[in-house]
Amino acid sequence: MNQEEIDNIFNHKEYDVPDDELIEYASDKADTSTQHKVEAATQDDPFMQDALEGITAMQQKDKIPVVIELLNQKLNNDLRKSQKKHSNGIENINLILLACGVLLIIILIVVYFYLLVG
Amino acid sequence: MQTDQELLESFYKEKDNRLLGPLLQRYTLLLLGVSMKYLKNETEARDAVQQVFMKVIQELQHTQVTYFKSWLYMIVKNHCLIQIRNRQSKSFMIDTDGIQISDEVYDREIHIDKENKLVYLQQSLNDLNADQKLCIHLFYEEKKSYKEITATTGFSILQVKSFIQNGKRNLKILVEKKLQDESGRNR
Repeated sequence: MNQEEIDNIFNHKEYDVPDDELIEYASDKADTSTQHKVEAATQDDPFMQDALEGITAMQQKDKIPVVIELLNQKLNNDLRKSQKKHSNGIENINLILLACGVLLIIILIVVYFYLLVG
Repeated sequence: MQTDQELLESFYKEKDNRLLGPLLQRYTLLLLGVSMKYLKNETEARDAVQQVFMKVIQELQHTQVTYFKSWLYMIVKNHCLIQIRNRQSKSFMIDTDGIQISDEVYDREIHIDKENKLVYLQQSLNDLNADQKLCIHLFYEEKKSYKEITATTGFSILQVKSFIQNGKRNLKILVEKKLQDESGRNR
C-alpha cells in the first residue's frame, strides 16, 4: 500500500467528480474506473451519498444536464437582479444625501442673508 | 480552479451577489439529487433547488460560513424535511441525526505519526477479518469498483460497502491503539 492509498483510508479526501460522471454512474453507464472514483468520493460524504441516491431515482437521467442548465440560468438571472436592486438602493441613498446637502446649503445661505439684512 | 472558500471570500469582500453564481453552480446537481431523494418528485425537487438558492443568497448576506459544502448540505436537507412536514401537515419531528454535520466530516484528519503509519497499517490489515481485509485490499489497492468486487468475491453490493466501512473503522481503531501503546512505552 502506498502513501496515497493510506491517506485515502485515513483522511477524508475531497474528490472532484464532474456532473456527467455522477450521472453516468447513476445511469449504470460508468466504466469501472469512474465507478471506483464515484464510490470513493461518496464513501465519507453524506451530501454526495444522498445526492447519488436521488439522482439514481430520477426517471429521465439524460434530461438532467438540461435541467441543471435551466436552474443555473435562473440562478444567474436572480443574482443579477438582486445585485441590480442592491446597487440601485445604494444609488438612491446617495442621491437623497446629495439633495439633503444642497438643501442645507441653501437654507444656510438664506439664513445668513436674512441675518445680514436684519 | 478557485476553492469554495476563495469564492466565498471574494463575495464577502466585494458584496457582489453575482460572485455566488460560480460557487452555487458547483452544487446544482447535488442539490437536485438530495431534493429528489427526500421529496421523491422531480418538479418539487427543482423548485426546492431554486428555493435553496434564494435562501443561501439571503443567509450569506449576514452569515459567515467556513465550510460551505457541509453548511449547504444542512440547508438543503432541512429545507426538504420542512417541505415534507408541510406536505404531511401534521406534527413531525425533524430528525436531527446527521443534520448537524460538524466540520469534522469534511475536514476529518487522524493525526497519526506518518513514519509508523505504514507499518502499523500493514500489521492491522492482518488483524481484520478475512472479508474486510479482502474488500479493503480490492477497493484501495486494486482500485476496483463495488461491482467488480461483487463479481470477484460473490458478496452483495451492500456487503461490500459494509465490509469496507467497517474495515476502515476497525483499521483506524487498531492503528490508533498501536500508536497509543507506543507513545505509552516511550514515556
